[in-house]
Amino acid sequence: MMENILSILIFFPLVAALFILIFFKSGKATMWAAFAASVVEFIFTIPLMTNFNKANPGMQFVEKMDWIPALGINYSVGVDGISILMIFLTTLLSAIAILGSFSYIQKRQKEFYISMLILETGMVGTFLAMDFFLFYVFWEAMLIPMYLIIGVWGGKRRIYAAVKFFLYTFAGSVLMMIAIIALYFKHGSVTGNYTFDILAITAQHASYGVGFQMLVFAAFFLGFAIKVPMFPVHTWLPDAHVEAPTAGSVILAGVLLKMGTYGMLRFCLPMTTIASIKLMPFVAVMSVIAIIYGALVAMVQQDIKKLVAYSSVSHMGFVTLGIYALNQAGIEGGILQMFNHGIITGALFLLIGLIYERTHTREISDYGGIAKSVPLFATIFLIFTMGSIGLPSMGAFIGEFLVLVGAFQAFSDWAILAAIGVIFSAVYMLWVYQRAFYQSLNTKWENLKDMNLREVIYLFPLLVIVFWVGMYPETFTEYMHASVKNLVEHMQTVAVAMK
Amino acid sequence: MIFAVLTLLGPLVAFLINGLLGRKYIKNLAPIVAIAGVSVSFLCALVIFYLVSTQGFSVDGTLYTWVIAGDLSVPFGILIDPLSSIMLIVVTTISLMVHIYSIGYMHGDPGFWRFFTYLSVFTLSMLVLVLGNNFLMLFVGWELVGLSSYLLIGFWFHKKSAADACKKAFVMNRVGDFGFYVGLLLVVVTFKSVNYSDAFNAEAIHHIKEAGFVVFGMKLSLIDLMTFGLFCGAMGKSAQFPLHTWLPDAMEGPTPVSALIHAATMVTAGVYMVARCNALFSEAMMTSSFVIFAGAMTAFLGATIGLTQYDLKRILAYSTVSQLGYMIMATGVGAYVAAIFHLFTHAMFKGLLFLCSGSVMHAMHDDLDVRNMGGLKKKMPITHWTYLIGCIAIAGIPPLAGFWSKDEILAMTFAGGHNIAWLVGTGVAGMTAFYMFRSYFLVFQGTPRNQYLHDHAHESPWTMAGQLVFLAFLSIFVGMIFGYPLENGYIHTFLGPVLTPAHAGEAHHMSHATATILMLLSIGVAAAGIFVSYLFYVKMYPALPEKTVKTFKPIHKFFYNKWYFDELYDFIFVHPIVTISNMLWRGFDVNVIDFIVNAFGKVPMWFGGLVRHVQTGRIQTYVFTMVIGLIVLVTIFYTV
Repeated sequence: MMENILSILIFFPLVAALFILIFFKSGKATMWAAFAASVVEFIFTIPLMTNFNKANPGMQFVEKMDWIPALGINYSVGVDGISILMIFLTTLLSAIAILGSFSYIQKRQKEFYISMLILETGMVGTFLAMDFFLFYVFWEAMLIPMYLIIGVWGGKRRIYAAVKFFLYTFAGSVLMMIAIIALYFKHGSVTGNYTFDILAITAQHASYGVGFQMLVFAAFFLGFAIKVPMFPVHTWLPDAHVEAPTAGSVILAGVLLKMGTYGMLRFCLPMTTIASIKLMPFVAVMSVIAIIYGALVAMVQQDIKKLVAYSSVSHMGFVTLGIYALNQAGIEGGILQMFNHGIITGALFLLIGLIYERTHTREISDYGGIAKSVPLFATIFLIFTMGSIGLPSMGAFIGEFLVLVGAFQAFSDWAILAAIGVIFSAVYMLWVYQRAFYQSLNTKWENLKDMNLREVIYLFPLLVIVFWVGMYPETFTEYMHASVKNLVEHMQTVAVAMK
Repeated sequence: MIFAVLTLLGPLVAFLINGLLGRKYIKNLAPIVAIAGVSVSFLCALVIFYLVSTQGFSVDGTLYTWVIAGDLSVPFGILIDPLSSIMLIVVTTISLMVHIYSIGYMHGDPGFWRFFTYLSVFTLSMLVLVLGNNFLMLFVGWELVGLSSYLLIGFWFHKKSAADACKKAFVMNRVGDFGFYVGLLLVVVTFKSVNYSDAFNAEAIHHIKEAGFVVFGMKLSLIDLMTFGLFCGAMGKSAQFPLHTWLPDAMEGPTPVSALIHAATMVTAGVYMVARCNALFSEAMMTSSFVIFAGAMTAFLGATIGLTQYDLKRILAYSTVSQLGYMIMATGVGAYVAAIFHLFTHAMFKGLLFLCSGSVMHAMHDDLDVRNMGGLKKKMPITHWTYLIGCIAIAGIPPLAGFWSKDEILAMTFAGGHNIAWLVGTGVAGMTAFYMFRSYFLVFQGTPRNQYLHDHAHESPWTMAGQLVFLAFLSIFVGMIFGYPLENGYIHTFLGPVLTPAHAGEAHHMSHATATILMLLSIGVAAAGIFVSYLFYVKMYPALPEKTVKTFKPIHKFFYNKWYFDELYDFIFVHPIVTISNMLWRGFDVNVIDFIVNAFGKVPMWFGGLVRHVQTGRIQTYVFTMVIGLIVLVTIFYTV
């Protein structure tokens, strides 16, 4: 089984979706079937994690077959230290998001869970694809179910949000496609071998001229920046989040945003190395702007979901800052922060979703004093609030620390400015916490029901992971040491050659 | 090592038990669990202190490797030396006292178990702060005590004032922590390590003494920049000017919390940190000057505001601000031992004073306005006597505790040639004696000013009063035990090896005569303060205070309104930031970026209108078409 584990991981949800499509009718049954499928999918990642060789920097569990040989397209998948945590995150959050939708999704349940499973195939496939064409197929395949999840099960302005989401990401996809095609032809003309193989194209990075690299970098970077999202192409995110159903927000924030930074790590850094090194300060500045801008705008939001959405812009700024520090601490911090952000923001969206189910409002001013009526909910919300603020003993602190250590060595001034984000995150998160949970209890919410067992169950794993990463990050970072080291050495060789 | 781990485990286990089972199962038995936890820590602290003082026991060990960041590896490590052992004593003693006191004080509160859970979190965090062997561990404790402080200030979160105060405390601390973070990063890049043993290495420091660091195009001294950053953290945590404004507001929390966190332990973390980093701070001339300035300024500021307040807890809070200023000033002049000594004695008498105020508050049905009190000495004899002891101790009358440590700070400041700081310090000593006795006279002497409240007042139960007696006992004797003879007491023998005074050291040799004159002067100033207070609030009350207030109306108003710091910060920070943020959001995000995006959107919308007949809104159709499409595409590619 282990030799095909990656294909199993990719296609199991799709097969499950087809199975549900054919054999299931009632909403309740599909719900449980989809949950069971997502749990099985998560269980598949456990042998992947345990059998993964942490000392090997390269691709593991590689599967490669011809697909369209005429165009040099292969079905090629593999996993390394950069993608493995993302796989873990994706399968975990998918299962949790599905369990978290049981009471939220009341219409067209069958279609919803099918979309979620297809989405999962797209996400896992994107992280595992080692062929550009395959990557692109999964990338786009992901877009459609997400579009539907927002557009069909979303809130009042769902159509606007879904179209905006689609347009933005589609623009990104087109740019990315241009870059891929350019690389395809360039690599072909250099080696005579026309292939979409990602590793092969990476291996030839030295033969791409500076001008060419700059153009490809620009196309890739813009495409990925939309996904992250970085300022100023972030405005789809708040709308998409506010309108998306809980599961949509969880997956969007938890996994889809990471596609952008994953793309930077997988393509920008190794393929357009010279451009990456030259444009390092530019990305640092953009990251710092995102950190501060996202935090400032988050501060004045009235809709709690929008606030968390803008905070994502700020937190993802730390990720890009770390990655473009181009050193071990920074990149590892960036990857760890991708993981942490997925866990913490995912949890926050789940929490917001479950309170929305009870109150049917997300306006912060409509709440007030609810810590009194829902103490357990308030406690767990506070834990993740503190996690988001980056309180030591929780995951995000370690991630931010690594990022700042890396960034400070690369560009100390920008790292100092980024650290201001530490103040602002406390301001906006605690302000919302104060307005929603503290002060006198709004009489409307006197009989609010506290969390039920199902809700505790799906938040519990996230709670454990947040503290685990905070107290013993090595469990997670040791997966990436070798691969990141390899990447950093690659960058350094090029940097030396440039001089 | 085992004792250190046990010290941490006690409150950790108590916290876990109470946190998980408190609400449903333990409820009113929560204090038993919490006190058991902190008692373990207290006993361990005693053992550790005994071992350190008799056998020179020390530990600098790693439990496990915590964070690996490139070449940097950060251990989860423990450090036991004289400094941490004396801090352990302070933290666990006061914590234990406050735990027991709270049984009586918090009795009947619906959040009873929650309160003890938070106290355990606090004790644990403070112990991590003190026991860590590197900067990152310090920072963990640092932030976690901030969290516990947030939770405990906001304990009665249904009150808006409490909810505001806890947020303010956390955010103000974060402002300082930003500086601390930068300092920490500088430590990382300079020493390639965050361990104290690597950073306080004389050779390493000598190496970088002259080094500069370019920040925003300016080349500054590396060590000054580093220590300044770290000191920013201390300004936040130890409520130093200009980040002092959160501490008085923190009095919204329950009084035992004010005693434990906002007087005795957490707020002194900044002093501990600076003392811990004495190897760095004593080499940083610019920072040291700033530290002296901040300390003296804070001492003065706190005292002037303390003169005018009517709320008993606020008076004590400003006196804490002022006393913290003393400690920080002492670290600035290089008198680290004196600073820690004052931290130690202050913990005892200020903890005592706060617990007394809680006792008074209990008796007065939560009224804290000293204008409504008076004549309580007969009703509450124990509280009265212990409060009086606390006041004498803080005023600096020998042989009580405050005298020894305060006198050392002033003498060292004078010896170091910091004449202005010394003058301010001496003046503040007089003011302190005045306003502390003002509160004493107004509360306990004279005639009752609110007969109803007075009639219902009563002495507190023994769970509370017992702690007062114990702390009063310590407030009388700890100064003598550790501080005699002046400037050469046991505290110097004990802490000297880790806190060797650097640049104040050479200038320290004062003649015996100078030292005696200084000592008599500081006693004289304190006595004068008490005497004036007696005139104002016993002899000629209320005519003289009223007349004085009238004469100095503008100054009084300025002091009474806390120098208008809150208003100033609202004006220069809060309002502009909110305005800018709103502009960015509504102005830029919504009107500029989205305008462009929506314009692009119009084109496909129009196009979409044409093809919308294909869209049935049925998922099955979509999925079906998608699959078919994929198959068709693949087949085309294959056959071509």
